[in-house]
Amino acid sequence: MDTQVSHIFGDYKENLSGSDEYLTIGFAPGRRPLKKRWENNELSADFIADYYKNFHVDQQESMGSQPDEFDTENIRDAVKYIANELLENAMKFQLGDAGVAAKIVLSLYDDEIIFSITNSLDAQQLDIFNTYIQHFTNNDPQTLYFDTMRASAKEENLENSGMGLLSMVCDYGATLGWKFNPTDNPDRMTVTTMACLPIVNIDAEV
Amino acid sequence: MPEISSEKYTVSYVQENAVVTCQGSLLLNGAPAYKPILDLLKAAAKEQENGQLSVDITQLKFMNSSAINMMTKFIMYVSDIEALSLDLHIKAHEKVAWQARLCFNLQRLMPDLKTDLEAS
Repeated sequence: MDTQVSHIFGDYKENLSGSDEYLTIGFAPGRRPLKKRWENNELSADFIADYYKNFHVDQQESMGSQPDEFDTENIRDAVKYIANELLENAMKFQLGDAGVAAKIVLSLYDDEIIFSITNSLDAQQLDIFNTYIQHFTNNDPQTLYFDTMRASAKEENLENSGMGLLSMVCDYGATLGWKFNPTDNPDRMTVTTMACLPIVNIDAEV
Repeated sequence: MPEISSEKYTVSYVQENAVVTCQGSLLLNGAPAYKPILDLLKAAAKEQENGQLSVDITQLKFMNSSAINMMTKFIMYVSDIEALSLDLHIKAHEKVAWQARLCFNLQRLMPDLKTDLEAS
């Protein structure tokens, strides 16, 4: 991949506008061990999920309808799941000395929630990420999801299987896109992973 | 009673009732961190072979994709890798979307899996 120019893959929406509300959480680069940063993922994901839950309940009440308790919790769970998976991926890849803050942005709309998470990648990580994205965008996600489940069962410690991204698409109806941007360092880029979650698809029906 | 627990979760196996109960939130980092829980599930399945085993997730609040991965590994272990003669049940809440969806996905991997969905 040419690290001097931007690249876009999948369903990536540029120039987001008209968001009813948005929330940004930034993570300054540092040398805190991954284990410590890992514990923060749930805190951040819970914060984002509760923030959305309040927005959703207000929205329902303003339309004169009483929010259903299970529907509300299912939407909260979905937001938490996607936020947590994106944070886990970003924290695994984020470089401690990159000088670039990782950040997650939540943009709220009437019918969808857009998560955008940005982190930095070195040359080796870029190769891994790029290979996975090509694999992901060139195959049917449902087939890939179950093939990955079957394959991972035979690999005791398989990592970077992409199950989190696949479950966002297959279990939650999310769409995914990526944008790579150059940095001052030609061996490094930032990647923004975008997940769009339609609100209508979140229910207990399977 | 075999049990694995931390501040955030407990997974316990009661041999007499043949039930593995999962509680709390499973948010561990990757497959190696889930190995002790997977080993507990595998041992329970081996021990109950030719009988029945229930895995109760009704008190589980949340699981990340690595935990889903662990559950698929367990299901594949029982149905394919070891091909155990085991009447395996998953007990979940019908109205908790992610629990119902997990049952549906696991059943696609193991059509003989019984899903006991609680309505409330």
